[in-house]
Amino acid sequence: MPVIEGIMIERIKQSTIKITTRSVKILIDPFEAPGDPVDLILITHNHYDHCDKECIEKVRKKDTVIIGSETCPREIDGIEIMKPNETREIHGVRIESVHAYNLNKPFHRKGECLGYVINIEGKRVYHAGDTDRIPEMKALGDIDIAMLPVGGKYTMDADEAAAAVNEDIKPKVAIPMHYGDVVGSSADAYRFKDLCETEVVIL
Amino acid sequence: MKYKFIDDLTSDVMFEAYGKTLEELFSNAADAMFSVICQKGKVQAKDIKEVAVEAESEGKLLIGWLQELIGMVDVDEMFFSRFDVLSIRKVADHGKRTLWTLKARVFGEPISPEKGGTVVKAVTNYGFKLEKTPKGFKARVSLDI
Repeated sequence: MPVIEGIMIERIKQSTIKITTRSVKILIDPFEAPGDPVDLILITHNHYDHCDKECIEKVRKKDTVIIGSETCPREIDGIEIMKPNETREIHGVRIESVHAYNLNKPFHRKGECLGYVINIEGKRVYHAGDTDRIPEMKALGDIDIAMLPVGGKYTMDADEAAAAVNEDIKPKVAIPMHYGDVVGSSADAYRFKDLCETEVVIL
Repeated sequence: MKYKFIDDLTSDVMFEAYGKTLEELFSNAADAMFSVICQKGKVQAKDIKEVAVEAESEGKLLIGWLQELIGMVDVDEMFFSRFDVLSIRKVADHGKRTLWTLKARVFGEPISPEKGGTVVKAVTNYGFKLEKTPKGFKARVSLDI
């Protein structure tokens, strides 16, 4: 499993990311992930490739905290809803919810989806969710690791994501996601890598 | 009956679609979805697009098919009114994993606002079900609008 900036990060598929430290396991946007139990599940929005019922039931245990956006189904037992620009402390991890939305497409409206900034092991890790290059990205503060969608069609594409990295977010490391399953291919990830002025890790 | 709407929440539309075969079920599910997206009766089958989708199960193939069509509305700027599902096949992939494939031809015309309905943003996973029935197949699909 790749260790980036001292944190183990695995991209399972699409935008499904698993973060593992000595003390906590976090799964973001569960979609067809293996059934290892996790402590915290973060869901950016309700679309099937980000909020997979079977997967959530497989990886949740008794004390797993599940956080989702306003549009996430309330059938998920115990789900806690966050709105953009809120903060929660869970299992010693500080979670900040941030905006994620489309500018020129209809799929993700402002306020319905989230990105997350996860403060873990002294680092700030940003999972952008399904979003275009939005003005709020400039105000994220210092980001060590940024995970951004690059597949286009439903989100920004590789060129737009690279511009967000170079001009808005300026993270130490960037990771492309949201390609290879529903939309986009590894070519998008490599184009993103070519265009970024920062280190890019393709998972 | 080809399909019926069973729930109409503020941000979701849920329907059940039926078919004697999987091909018919998939076609009827697309029919149901486009009766939300546009005024299907007014959309002429003037242009043809080919669609191919792959997935690990019949259920995921149905979700993938509908999601592909949602994307095509935006990318190709078209409304569709006829869905010929040519084949749905279970094929082995390296002898281990199962893979389902779909091939279809869909017919429609360029988007015009006066024929528009409600924008469908995506298929959601909650509430989704595909099952065999004595008469064929039945699927329950929830759409984020």
